[in-house]
Amino acid sequence: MNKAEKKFRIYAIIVIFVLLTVLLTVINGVNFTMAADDADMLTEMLSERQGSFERGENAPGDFQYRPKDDGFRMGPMGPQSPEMNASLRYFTIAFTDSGEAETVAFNISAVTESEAREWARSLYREKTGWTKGTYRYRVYKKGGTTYVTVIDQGRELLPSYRILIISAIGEAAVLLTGWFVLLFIGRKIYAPIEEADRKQKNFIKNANMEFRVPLTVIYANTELAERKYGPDDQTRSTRRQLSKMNELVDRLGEISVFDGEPGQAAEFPFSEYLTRALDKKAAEFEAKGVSLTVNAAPGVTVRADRDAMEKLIDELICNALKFSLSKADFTLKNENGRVVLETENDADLPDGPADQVFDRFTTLENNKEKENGAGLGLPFVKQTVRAYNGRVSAEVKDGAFALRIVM
Amino acid sequence: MKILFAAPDRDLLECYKSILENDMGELIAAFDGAQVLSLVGSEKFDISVLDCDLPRVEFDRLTAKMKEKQIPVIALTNGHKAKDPKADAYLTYPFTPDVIEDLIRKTLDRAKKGQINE
Repeated sequence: MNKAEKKFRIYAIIVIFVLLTVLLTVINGVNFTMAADDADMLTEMLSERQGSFERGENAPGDFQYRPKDDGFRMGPMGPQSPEMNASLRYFTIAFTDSGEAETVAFNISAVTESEAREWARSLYREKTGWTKGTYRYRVYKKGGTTYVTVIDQGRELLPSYRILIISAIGEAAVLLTGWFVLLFIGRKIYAPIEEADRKQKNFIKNANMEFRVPLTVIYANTELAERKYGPDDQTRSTRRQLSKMNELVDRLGEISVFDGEPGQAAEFPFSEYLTRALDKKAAEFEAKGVSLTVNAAPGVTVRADRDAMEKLIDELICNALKFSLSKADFTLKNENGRVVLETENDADLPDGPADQVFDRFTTLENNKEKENGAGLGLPFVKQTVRAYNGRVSAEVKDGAFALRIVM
Repeated sequence: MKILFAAPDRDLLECYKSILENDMGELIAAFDGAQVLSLVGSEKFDISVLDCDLPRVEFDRLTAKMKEKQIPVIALTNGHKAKDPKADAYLTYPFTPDVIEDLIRKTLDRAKKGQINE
C-alpha cells in the first residue's frame, strides 16, 4: 500500500468517525436532555401538588394538570400519561424550619422510609438534579416548609442508555466496515495512480540507463571528428549539448536511486553543512552579481539520510544561483521543535503559488534569465522532505521566489 | 599494448577501436560474454574493458576468468549495478576518451605494481 492510499484511508476514516460521533452525540445528548426535562416536569407537577399526587385539587389520573405545550413529549406516552400517578416511584419529605422531617409521600422500594429521610436531608440545600445515577430530585418551598421530592427514572432512562450503548457499538462497527470498504475502494482508486507512478519511475530509470551508452558514443565520435577535421563551432556546440545531456542523465540517475527508500537516518548537522556549502558558492554568487544573505541558527540538526540532505541543500543553492537576479536569502532556524529552512530570491516571476515547481520536468518561466533547469531539482527536494514527514511549499510574491521547508 | 574491449553496443566498439588503437595500442572488440571467454582462451591481453551487462555470460564469471589469466579488469557500468569487488576499476557511462585512456593507464600502472585485486 503506498503512502497516498494509506493517507486517503486514514483521512476518510477520520471524517467518518467525526461525522458519526457528532451525529450520535447530538442524538444521545438530546435524548438525555429530554429525559431530564421529562423528569423535571414530573417533579414540577409534584411540587405544584405539595409533593404528592394524592394532594391538590385534581384527583389522580386527572388530565387537567397536563401542560398545553406538549412539544416532543409524546402526549400520553410521556410524563403526562394518565397512568403516571399510579406508576411513578417517588418519595417526598417535608422539612419544617426547625429541621423536623415529615414523610409526605412514599411510593418507592429501593430505600426504607428512614433512609429516604436521610437521603432527602442530604439534598436539602440543593435545587434540582440527578442523584444516585437515575433519581431526579427537586427541592422547593411552600409556605414555611421545604419539600424534597425524589423520583426514580431508572426505567425511563434505560432506553436512553441502550441507545447510547447501541450507538457506540454501531459506530465501532461502521468504522470497522468502513475501513475494509475503504481498503477496497482505495485500491481501486489508487491502482491506476500507482501504475502511472511506477511507469514514470521506470521511465526515469530506463531513460537514465539507455541514454548513457549513446552519450558515450557521441562523445567519442565528436572526439574523432575533431581529431580528423579539427575543432569547429559545430563540434563545440555538440560538446555543450552533450554536457547538458550528461547533467540531465546524472540527475535522472540520482532521482531513480532516490525513488527507492531513503537511506539510513542519522543526526545531520544542517546549519553546519548549509553554511559551509554556501561559503563554497559565495564567489559564484558574487560573480553573478547576486547579494547572498545567510541567517543560519547554529547547531540546527535533523535526523535524516546524510547523502539525501546534502543533495537537498546543494539543489537549493544551485537553484538560487541559477535563478536569482540580484539577491538570494537563506534562513535556517528551529521553530516549535522543527527545522525550518526558508529561501528567497528575486527572479522576475509572476506572483502566485508556485507548487508546480515540485512536479518533475516543470519549471517556472523566468523572463529575464531564460535559463530554465531540467525541472528535477525541486521535485527531489520535495521527495526528500516528504520522506521525513516534512512539508515544503513555494510561492512567488512581488516577483521573488520563496521556498519554505519544515521538517 | 593489447586491450580487450567488450560492450554490446557495436557503435561504441567501433569508435573506441579507432580512438584507442590510435592512442594506446591494439584493441580487440567483443560484443558478448561468450566472445570474451573465447578470446581470452586464445589470445593474451594486457588489460580488459568489460561492460557489466554483456549478454550470454554472467559478469562474475568473466571477472573470475580474467583473474585466472591475470588480466586487469575495468568494468563499464550504467551506475545501477552494484559494484563487483572483483573488477580493478570502474567507469560509469557516459565517459569521454581521455577519461578511459587515463583510467587504462592508471590501472595498468597499479597492475605492474601488484596493486590490483587478486
